[in-house]
Amino acid sequence: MKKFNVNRAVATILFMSIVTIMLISTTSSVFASSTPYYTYTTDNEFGWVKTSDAYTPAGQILSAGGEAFKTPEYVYVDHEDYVYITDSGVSKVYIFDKDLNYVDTMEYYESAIGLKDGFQAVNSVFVTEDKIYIPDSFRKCVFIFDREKTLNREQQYNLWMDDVDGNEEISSGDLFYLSEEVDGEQVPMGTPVYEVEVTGLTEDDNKIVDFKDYVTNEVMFTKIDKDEMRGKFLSWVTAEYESKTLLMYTMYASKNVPIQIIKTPEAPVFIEGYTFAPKKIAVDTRGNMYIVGAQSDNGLIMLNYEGEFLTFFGGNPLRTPFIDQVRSLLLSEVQKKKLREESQIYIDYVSSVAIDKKGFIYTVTSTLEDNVIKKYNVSGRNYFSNDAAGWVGAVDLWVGNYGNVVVVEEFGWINEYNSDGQLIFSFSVSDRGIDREGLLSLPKSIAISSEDKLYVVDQGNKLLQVYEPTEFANAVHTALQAYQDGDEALAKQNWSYSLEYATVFDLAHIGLGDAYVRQEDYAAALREYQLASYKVGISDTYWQVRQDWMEQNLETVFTVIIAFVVLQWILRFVNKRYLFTKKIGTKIQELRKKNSVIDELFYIPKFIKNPLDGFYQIKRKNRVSVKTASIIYFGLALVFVMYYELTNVIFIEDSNPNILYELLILASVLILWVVANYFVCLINDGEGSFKNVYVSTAMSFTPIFYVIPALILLSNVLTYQEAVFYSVPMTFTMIWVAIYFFFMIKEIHNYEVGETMGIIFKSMFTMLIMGIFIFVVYSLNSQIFTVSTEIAREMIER
Amino acid sequence: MQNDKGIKKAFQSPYLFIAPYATLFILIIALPVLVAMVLSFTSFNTIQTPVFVGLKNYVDIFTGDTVFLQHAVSNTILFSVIVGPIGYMMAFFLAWMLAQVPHKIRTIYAVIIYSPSITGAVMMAFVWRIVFSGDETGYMNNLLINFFGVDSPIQFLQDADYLFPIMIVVSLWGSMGLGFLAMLAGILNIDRSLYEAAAIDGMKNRWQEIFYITIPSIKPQMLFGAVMSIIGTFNAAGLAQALAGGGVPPQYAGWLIVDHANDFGFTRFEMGYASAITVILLLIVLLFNKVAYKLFGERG
Repeated sequence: MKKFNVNRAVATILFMSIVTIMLISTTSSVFASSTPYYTYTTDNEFGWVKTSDAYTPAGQILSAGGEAFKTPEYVYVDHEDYVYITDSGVSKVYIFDKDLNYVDTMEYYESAIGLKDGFQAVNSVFVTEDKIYIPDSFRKCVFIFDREKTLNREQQYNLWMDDVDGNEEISSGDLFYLSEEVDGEQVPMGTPVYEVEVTGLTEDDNKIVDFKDYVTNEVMFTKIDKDEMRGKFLSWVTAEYESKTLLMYTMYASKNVPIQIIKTPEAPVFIEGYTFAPKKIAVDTRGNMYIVGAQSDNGLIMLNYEGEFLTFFGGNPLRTPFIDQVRSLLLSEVQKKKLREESQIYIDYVSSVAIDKKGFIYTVTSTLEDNVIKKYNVSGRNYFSNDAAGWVGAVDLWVGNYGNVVVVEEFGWINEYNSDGQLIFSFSVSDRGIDREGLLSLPKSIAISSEDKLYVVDQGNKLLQVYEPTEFANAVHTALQAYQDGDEALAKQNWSYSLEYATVFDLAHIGLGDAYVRQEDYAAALREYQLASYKVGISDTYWQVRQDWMEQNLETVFTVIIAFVVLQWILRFVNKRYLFTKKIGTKIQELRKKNSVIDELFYIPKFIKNPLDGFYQIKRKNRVSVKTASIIYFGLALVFVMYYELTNVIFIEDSNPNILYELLILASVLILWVVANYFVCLINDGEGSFKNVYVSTAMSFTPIFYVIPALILLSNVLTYQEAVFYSVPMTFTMIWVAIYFFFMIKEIHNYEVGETMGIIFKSMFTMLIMGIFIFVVYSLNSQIFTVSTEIAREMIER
Repeated sequence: MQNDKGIKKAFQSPYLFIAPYATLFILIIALPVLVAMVLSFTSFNTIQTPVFVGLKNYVDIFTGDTVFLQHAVSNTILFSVIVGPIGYMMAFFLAWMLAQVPHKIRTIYAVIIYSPSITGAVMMAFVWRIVFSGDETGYMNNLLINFFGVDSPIQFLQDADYLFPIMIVVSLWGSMGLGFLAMLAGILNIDRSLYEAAAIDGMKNRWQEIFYITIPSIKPQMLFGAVMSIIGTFNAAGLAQALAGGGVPPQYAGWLIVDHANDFGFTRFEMGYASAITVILLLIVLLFNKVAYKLFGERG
């Protein structure tokens, strides 16, 4: 019957574990994905996890106004959702409206006088509410255009002229008709609308023509002949209309003329030859410009609205090789200078810049591995999380509508962070040679529209890819916004909704927790934080929960304490009369006599009080047996498991450790220690036997049993504010054990203090060597195994 | 005759014998402590008559006073656990080293080493403020910038993360006070013949001298030093404010229990509440003293 029960228990455990494994595997592996890529997020338990799609491909643009992109470089979306794409191959900026209909092309040629000031390498574009900034690193300047004028630029159109005086050229009194397109041809229409008057000549003998309303005689607009319009002599298009011969005039589109050109500032540093080659730019509300310059060693160049140099801003610290730092301490000035010229000091140039509504400046640096993204306030302090996951190759970033930051990386990763630098989504759109919509070969720039659409420039495939946010992404965004606006109910609703899409999503749990905290529901917040293992949050909310509990139950606590004291007092009194302790003492004595292991375990307190005497007893009198030592080791393992399982999560570094693995490491280190120490002492006149080392090592760990279990239990009612109560006893126990350990070696092998130090180092070194040896044997072993199987297969198959 | 005997008996009474000491003890020590304990159950603003409020002050401390629970207690315990033992060991080590020095020079050294304890916490803070000054003229910042490639001066005294460690360093520097003198006296009083006897018995080195003769011989002084260092560190106050430049230190870094009591007692004049805080401090000190007696006290 008993056996049957055991079997059933084993079977149940097996069944349960299989079910859990299946559950885990089903929840975390499969996601229906219509997109050609997976979206990931981070999780405290599973690390890097797949989640639902956040963005799905939603169309591409390959050309602008019939002109295919050549080298699309940069994309910008302004506050009215006009999309600007710069093409450095043709030095143009294409403008699209919010439905991605082509609007216009911005060009700026060298002026007629021959000044070299046209577009040469339009690297990027930045648009404020009234201005368009276009940095040009080849021209070493920033062109500033008026936004209204650029967007409403007069396009090319036609007018028909009735040459009233018949002199075959434009002169006062000539009449103009509007034109309309019929079957692909321009024809005149209606009655005359303008009467012209030549008011004078320009410097190069071109006529200045006023166009007046035919009826009211009011001047409507002025054009310069040949420069802004062209007529009879150049086009020769005529039409018969109402028995008159009309000549077609083409009215040129108005040119894009910069209202301001920012040239190299006249600050001393630039006169001395510091490169001013603007590539990217961000402009704050006061018109201050933050310029990413090619070869700008000191970081961003900050200019005021007039183009006067203010300061350098947000440069990345130099990565001087450590050896050079050491050298520079010892070298003279001359040698240092030489070193500076020869040394391979690598400067991390900022790759791109962005600015948010609050005025934070964001930079991204493609050559960095850590701290890829930075979020500076005016005084240059970085507010972006240092732990933010980032990759080498991040080229451009954009600050979205909720303080969220998206970063695109040349190898195809697109990451979205919240405003603190916590990763929300990450997906790789790298095409790896596959041609599918939504996959890119060389993404260069990214922007977000007001509807949260992502626009990504793919220089490799020469297109602009659009991604649409999914319901999931929208819920996350709405929740972020709602929390910022102080609408916790909406935030909670959206976070909960997002959890329907992604079961494992720390950010949602933290968001829910934050919302609960705002609503002062700390218990609920604590639950959510615990799901996300958000330690600071757990600590803070637990503090509140505990405080509430204290407020309600303080009287009870006081009563219990007083009752306890009284009870102890009564017990002592009763004990005096009935001698309980003595009876228990004799019982224990009997037990100790019967069983040597129990006797040896009861020896531990005495050992802890007099360790030196204890080591003598172990060495000379065999006071503690191997069996007991093994039990102690087993107890240590139990405490170790307990430490990982029961300690408050906020005090454990790695909140989801592989306990078996950790235990294995601990055990192997201990075994190595015992063996190494024994062998080292054997050849160093140590007196202890192997058994002595084994037993006394175990005994010197015994203080742990006194402190750690209690501490583990205590930690569960502590927060970071009272971390002292956890860390101080912990440290003291470790020091305590270390001291016992030291004297253990000293006494067991009968060494001097100095010798003991030496032995410890030698033992550690031996442990290292043995570890390496075991590793080599292990790796060779697998080699040998593969080789022998190969040979066996050869034998069998031939 | 009978009466005479009675008077004689009365004079022989042990109570009379201890009366002078007992009167002084009660007047100077027991009474103030008792008054503080009584006051801790009242609400007292130094002007009006104290009003009895029962346990309210204690309940408020444990339920409402976040600064006390989150900063003062943790800081005080961490501070005394670090400064107490390390200062204690330093005191012993210095005393032992000084004992090896000839008599006249020893006196000079003793005065020099004892001087930080004389000058007082605030004076010390001024000296150290120059060292840890937040601009590049501060010695520490200058050193870091010129030799360790730090690019901008660190605000040592305005940054909560730095202030507490600096406070500990400063306290350690000034902590070998009374304990040091007592131990020096103890070491000098050890009978030289003990060392000679031990040398004949096979004493090998100075370590053995320290562990087998010096420490056992000056156990009473060691106990005194331990008690002094515990009480001293728990009673420390005002250092963080002095370092940070007055007022409450940034983020309550280095805010100790006595600071908190001072704040309530002498800034807000809530004497009842301040008394309750000091009573709690007294309990903590008693607890730690008990541990010290267990470790260093004579057995039996």
